[in-house]
Amino acid sequence: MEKSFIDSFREYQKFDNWFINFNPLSKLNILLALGFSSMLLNNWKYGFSLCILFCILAFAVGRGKQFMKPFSVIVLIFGFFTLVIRQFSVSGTTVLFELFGVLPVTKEALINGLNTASYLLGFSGAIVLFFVTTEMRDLMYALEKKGVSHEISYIVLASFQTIIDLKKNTDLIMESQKARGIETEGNVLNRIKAFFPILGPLVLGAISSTEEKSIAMDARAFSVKCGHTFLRELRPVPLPEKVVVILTDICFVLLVVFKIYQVFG
Amino acid sequence: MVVAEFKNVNYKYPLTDEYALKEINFQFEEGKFYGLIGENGGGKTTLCNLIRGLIPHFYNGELEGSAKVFGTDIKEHNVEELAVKIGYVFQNPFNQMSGIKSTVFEEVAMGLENLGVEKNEIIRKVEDVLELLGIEDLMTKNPNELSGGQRQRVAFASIIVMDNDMLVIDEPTSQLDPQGTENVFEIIRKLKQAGKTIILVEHKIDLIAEYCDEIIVMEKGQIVCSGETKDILSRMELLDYGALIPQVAVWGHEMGGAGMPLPEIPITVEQAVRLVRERGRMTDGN
Repeated sequence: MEKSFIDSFREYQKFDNWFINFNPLSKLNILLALGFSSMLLNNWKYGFSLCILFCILAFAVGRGKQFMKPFSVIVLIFGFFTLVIRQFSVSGTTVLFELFGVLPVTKEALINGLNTASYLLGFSGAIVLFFVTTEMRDLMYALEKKGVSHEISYIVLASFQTIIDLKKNTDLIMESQKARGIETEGNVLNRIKAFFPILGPLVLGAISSTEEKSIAMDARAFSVKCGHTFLRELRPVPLPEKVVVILTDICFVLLVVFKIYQVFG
Repeated sequence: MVVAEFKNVNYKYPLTDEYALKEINFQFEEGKFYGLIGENGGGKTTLCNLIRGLIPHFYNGELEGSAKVFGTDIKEHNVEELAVKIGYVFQNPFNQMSGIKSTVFEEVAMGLENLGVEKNEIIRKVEDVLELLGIEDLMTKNPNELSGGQRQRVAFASIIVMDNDMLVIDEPTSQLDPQGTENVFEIIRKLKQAGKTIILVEHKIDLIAEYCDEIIVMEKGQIVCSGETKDILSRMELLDYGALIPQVAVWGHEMGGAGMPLPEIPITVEQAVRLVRERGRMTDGN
């Protein structure tokens, strides 16, 4: 097992399916183009078809569950909220039915709400799909290859671990402050009061550990100015993938031109 | 060859009035293993920081006197490159993980990636180091989910893999259990065999007595005495400086006090056993 693990670094990283295997930047490009297209078209039929496409795609590449969890929340909150707000802000004449016998639901407001909701959902779907099918380190690898500095890459990647560490530290400090007699449970006021004795040690601790961490990273040649190599490499972008990206971009540009023509023409 | 040389060095941390280092005069020689001992707050870590160039580059403060590392004044050194020449392992194993790598293998490889080493070379070196430290079984584990002792060994591996000429090791075992401590000293012993210059800050005096070539005792920012391990660690006055001496050395002195002086003061258990055996043979002979 260890042998095959080590050998996995000798070649390009392999992923379980074709979509995840896409270069992170190609994937980002395609999904953003799709996301923005739903914004530009502002048409509920297109927007919702896109959402359905994203769902199917997520399930097809084995990330259905991870995708649906945040996406369903977004659908419920954004979708529902937009529909309700539009009923109040858009005045329509065609009343479909009256909610609770008093609130008129008009066709115009409903279509308007659906359009807005669909582009919000189309765009967020693209973003969510990107993040559930891409590991952050792969994205940063692709960006570093494009010339983004390794410091930025480190900051982005380390912040995820920092959040986990800070959470652990918060629990630890909370326990020790509790042992010192500070009430951390109970009503809202107690909780707010407990906030400050926790925040102090947490922030100071984080600052002092940052100092140690930067020393430790310097000892690992972090600041040495020379070209880096990568133990874990992604495959170079194959030609078909490039073609797909370029075609998507061409379609997107055409859509933008069409939209500008429609607005100003 | 002298790797670090300090003449009349005084140093004050920023915003403090007290000198953290006073009149430091010392030469560190290549390939030797130095044990740095003394009371808490005695200046041991500050001296380590000076050798590594963190003083004055990272901590600022006032530095007087002449401090040369690898023949160049510490102020003239490029601190990033010095950091690579002098490996550094310190007390807290939790802050020594990068936090961006998901397996121990990648964590250990990080330093070499930063140096632009070719991939197959990285794999070879990391494999060797993991084997050297006996932590091959950890290679697929997440470094952020290891125990303190395991992390400390990973931290060692991450530094050793870079093949530094010199290592500064600051209380590496303070958070470890006896087995973890033993493992870490085993690693240090291997490094010594490889001919590295090692400076170790440590309170576990019995282990210091067993492994170090020379001892430096610090108190209140000064080097109060230094010399060969056997010579220094057999001195009772070390206790006055807030440092410890091995239990067997105390026993050696007590024997003298009880009217049964030993031919020499032992500092390791083996030496004590040998002395007792010799005495036994002498009494048998009589």
